[in-house]
Amino acid sequence: MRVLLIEDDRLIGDGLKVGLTQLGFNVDWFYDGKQGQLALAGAPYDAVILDLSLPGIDGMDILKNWRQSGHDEPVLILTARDALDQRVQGLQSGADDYLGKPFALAEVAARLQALIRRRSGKLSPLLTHGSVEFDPVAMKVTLDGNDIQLKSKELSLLSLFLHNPGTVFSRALIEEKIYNWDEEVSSNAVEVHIHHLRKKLGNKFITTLHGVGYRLGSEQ
Amino acid sequence: MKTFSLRFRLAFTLILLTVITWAVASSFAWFKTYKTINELFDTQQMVFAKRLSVLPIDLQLIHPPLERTKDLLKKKNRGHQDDDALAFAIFTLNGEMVLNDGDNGHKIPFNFHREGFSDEPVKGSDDLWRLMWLKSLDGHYVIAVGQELEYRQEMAVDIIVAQLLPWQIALPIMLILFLWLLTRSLKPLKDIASQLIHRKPNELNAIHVATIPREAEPIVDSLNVLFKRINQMFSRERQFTSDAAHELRSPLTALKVQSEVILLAGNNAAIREQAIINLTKSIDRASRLVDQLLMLSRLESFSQLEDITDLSWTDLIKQAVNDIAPEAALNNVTLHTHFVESPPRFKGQQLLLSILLRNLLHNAIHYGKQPGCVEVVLFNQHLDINDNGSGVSSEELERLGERFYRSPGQEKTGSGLGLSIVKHIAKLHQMNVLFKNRDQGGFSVTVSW
Repeated sequence: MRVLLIEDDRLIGDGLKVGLTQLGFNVDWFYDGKQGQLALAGAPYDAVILDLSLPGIDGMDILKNWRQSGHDEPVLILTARDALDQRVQGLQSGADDYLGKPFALAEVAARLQALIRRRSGKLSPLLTHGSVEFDPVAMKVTLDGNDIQLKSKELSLLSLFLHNPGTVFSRALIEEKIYNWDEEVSSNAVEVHIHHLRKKLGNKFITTLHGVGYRLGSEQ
Repeated sequence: MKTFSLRFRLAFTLILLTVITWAVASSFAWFKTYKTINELFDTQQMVFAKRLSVLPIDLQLIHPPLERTKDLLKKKNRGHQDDDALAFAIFTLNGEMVLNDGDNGHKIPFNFHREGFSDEPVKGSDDLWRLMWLKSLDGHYVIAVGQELEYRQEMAVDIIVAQLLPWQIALPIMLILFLWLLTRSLKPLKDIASQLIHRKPNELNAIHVATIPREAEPIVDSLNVLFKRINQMFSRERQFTSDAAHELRSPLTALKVQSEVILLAGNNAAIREQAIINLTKSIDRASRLVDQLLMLSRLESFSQLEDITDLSWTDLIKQAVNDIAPEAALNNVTLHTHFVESPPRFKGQQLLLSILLRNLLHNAIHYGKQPGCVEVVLFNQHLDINDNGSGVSSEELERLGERFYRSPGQEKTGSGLGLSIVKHIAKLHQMNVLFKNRDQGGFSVTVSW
């Protein structure tokens, strides 16, 4: 899942990026508010983490601008201020959730998961497909009750398919979803990851539609 | 604090003053009365002696004493007589008493030197008498008319005492009225005291009294000014605490997130090491913020400097540049000092001024260009600290020195308190701090005195 992070504090931003990446998110981090505001249109983000206290520009203004220009990506606001009216104002301006500093990385991840899940209309935190079960918060995958070890990109890919069953993803879109702008993508990277997923979760887990892309296989 | 009762003190002073005034006035009156009485009786004695001096020459003076008045007149016919009012005796030139008044005249000793008045004791007593000596018209007899001096004095005292009587009644009434008036006048002060004593510690609104003596108004005004100032200080403190708490949240978040990253890193050593480095940075940052907060809070509570010593700018700058040299070297910044002029020694707090210089040099090194150079230039009335970085925007220039203000897009970690501290230290030393962009590029801070 590709997440846009706008946070001016270097140490918090770095921690969030590295930590969330470890948890299977694909994070683009901007510490300049204005650049971050423009970045939302540049890639198919699943969620946004927005710090309110940005130098030079108010995070709340960024949010309002996005909502006015029709962006409906779920936004999680981070702030050091926790006054109630500010929280209300944030939610009224179109924020989907609110997290006060200091927060735990795990909580950010859980809230992001919840936001993304809510957007795709699912209520249970567990994503299941046939005998495959995925806990996006704990980043745990089981096949017939047995733990399966997946690498971070494989987790991203699994999460992408399980969140959007029935959707056909082109190779380019998959690249955009699971890689951020800092990463070099080799031409056959997506094929390699899909190959690994099939090897671990079963050949029919992902169906190839030749010349179009990939889709989650039918439940066995 | 020495306390006294205003009522007691005023009442006591009033009584004391009344008594002194009365005593002075009475003694004066006594002397005056005594003098008048003396004049009166002397004249009376003289006239009486003169009257006696013209007795017929052929008077037979064979029975010296006359009858006593007591024997002469019945009691009810005697009137209000005083038996020592006047006495007389007539002597021959040889000193033989030939006649006296029958009451006290026989006590008069023959002590004739010359005609006129003399004060002498009489026979059988130590009391002084006023005696008038006069020769009879034919020159055969000497006439003495006397009066006891004590009689005159007693009469004067009687007059004074009679005068005192109305005072003895008036004084207590006056005192009671005075105390009542005093209690009434002091009531507003009592009201203020009871208002103050019933106040809660956080109740800092102005004292309100309906009427107040003009003399007590300054106290109430000063108290109200004090309450206002305390109120302002409280809200400043509250604001500071709230700001500080919020500012501490960011470093705490960094600590928390970085420590979680270490846990998540698993076998990835690169991520773990980087996170540990970041964790250390976060701790440094949090400690620096706490230090700065403490420093600022301490500075804000100062109203004047303590431990003032004799200082020289040259020494202070040399020391500060020397202390920060390793930090400059680490950041590829070269430091230059130019002592263009040498200002005279001055009074200041060494530690605070070192902090001022250190903060300014630290800022110049970190927010200037790297590699670059920082110069300290000393003049008679001011010193400049310049860097050759990119300066700041005019909008930022205005806000620099505000608590917790940090320039937009700032990559370096910082508390946003360094320049606030600089400003406070300068203010305590009656110095001015001016931030500006240099024409030739770079940022410059001027401290002037």
